[in-house]
Amino acid sequence: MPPLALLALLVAAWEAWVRVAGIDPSVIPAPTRVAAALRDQAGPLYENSLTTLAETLIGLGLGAVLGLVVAIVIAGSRLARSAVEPLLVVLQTVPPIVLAPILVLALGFGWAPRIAVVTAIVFFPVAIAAAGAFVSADPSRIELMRSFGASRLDVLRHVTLPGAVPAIFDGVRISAAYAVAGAAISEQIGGAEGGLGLFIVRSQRSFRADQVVAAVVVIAALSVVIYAVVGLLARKAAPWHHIHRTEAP
Amino acid sequence: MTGRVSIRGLGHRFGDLPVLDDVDVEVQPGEVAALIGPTGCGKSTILRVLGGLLRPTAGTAEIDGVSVVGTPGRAGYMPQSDTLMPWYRALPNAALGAEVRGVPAAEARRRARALFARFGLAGFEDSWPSQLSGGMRQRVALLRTVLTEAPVMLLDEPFGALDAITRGDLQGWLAELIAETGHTVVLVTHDIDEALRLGDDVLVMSPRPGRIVDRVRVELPRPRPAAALVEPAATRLKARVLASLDPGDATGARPGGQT
Ligand SMILES: Nc1ncnc2c1ncn2[C@@H]1O[C@H](COP(=O)(O)OP(=O)(O)O)[C@@H](O)[C@H]1O
Ligand SMILES: [Mg+2]
Repeated sequence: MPPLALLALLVAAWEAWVRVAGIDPSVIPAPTRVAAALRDQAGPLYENSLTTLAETLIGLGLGAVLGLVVAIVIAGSRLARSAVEPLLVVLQTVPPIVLAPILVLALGFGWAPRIAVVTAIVFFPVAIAAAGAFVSADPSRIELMRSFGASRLDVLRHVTLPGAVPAIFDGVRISAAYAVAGAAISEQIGGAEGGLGLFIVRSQRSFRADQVVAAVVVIAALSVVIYAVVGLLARKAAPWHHIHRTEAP
Repeated sequence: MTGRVSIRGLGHRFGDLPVLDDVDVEVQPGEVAALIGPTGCGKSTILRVLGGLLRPTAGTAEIDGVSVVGTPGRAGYMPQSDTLMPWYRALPNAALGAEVRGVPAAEARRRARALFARFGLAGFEDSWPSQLSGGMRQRVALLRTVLTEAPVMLLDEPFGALDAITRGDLQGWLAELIAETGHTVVLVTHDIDEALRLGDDVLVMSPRPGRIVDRVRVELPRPRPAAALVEPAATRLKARVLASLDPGDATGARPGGQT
């Protein structure tokens, strides 16, 4: 697999560079040191990643549901759309991490601000993708439904919602890549009792760059896994979107 | 038998664009009226009015003496474009109309399943629409229309997108089906053979704004296989429809438009 080969090559180059240049391991640790830290700190890393993972998954779920609800409201009313959509477009340019200190002030030092950061990360892509998919629903399908005497709920259930499923999952998947990092960074900002972000802060204070990088590796691995799982769920939720055309006679 | 269709003085404009002008259509219960005319003359607009989907700017449209204007759900409507839901397999697609009209989903699917073979779809219950051929997709859409159990079917160029051979086969099949079910049908087509094979009446429309310029009673015996259309009686009717479609006036220009 070319990407894995490239990754191995980069890691090897990093190792060689650190060794040849004799760089202080508390500044830039060699991959072998990082690997050792991963092994030695496996217990704490595991426990802290459970915290971060929980924040991430709850935030993902909340963000996806909220995004969907807002998209449904937007699609259902012209007024709501004209009021909300421009705000969405502007607000989505604010990186949710920037909001973390404000959220800590507003929501206190519990889990809430960290979950809120992840929720915000997921909310905007999902709301915008779903609203786009709702609005572009095929009008002839909606008219067909009306010809059956369908209610708005029938149309939502049989046309707009199923048609938006791939876009919704795309929104979740894209944001899933940032969600873990978002949770970890917000752990560093206020009051976390655990989590990979806090682990990083503690490791920095004791000049354990190897542990910092080890935690970053875990964050990256979690992101990849969540991204892949969301992709799998998307296939489950919209199998019709992934079949190959095989014309019957 | 119910399903009498009556359109009187129907006129419609989209903004400044006059699309229909003083259209009268009467279809007796159990008969098939074939509407034929150039693209953009307002054929689909007539069906949408009958489907209760569009309020006309003039005139009345009734089924069994009751106005259908603004009341969708009284007729089984099969739109011109392929409107199967890609997210449902063939069986739930066929059952969708009945389900939306209030038949419990399981019962609607049972009724659909019972008719799959009759519609030449046996074995394809679990196929996705994108895995079906164009002809099969149209048969699923027709089954969906039949299962709404409305006595009137509005079919908008049901075979327009198919190749000539498939279209010919399906025309014969549909004629048989309608004879069995006793539906009243308003069939929009731009295929003269289709109009003559299926229609009891052929209503010829002018270019936009569409008017009915000729009514041709088709007294050909049924069934009418494709070969029957080369009989003298049929070719005479064909010549008349052709002449009405293109009265040969000097302009020869026909406004185009989307279908
Ligand atoms: N919703 C609409 N708004 C504006 N113009 C329309 C609309 N629907 C149809 N038209 C126009 O009305 C005319 C008749 O359309 P249609 O009934 O679809 O014709 P046909 O089915 O005979 O081809 C066309 O010129 C078309 O462009
Ligand atoms: Mg049309």
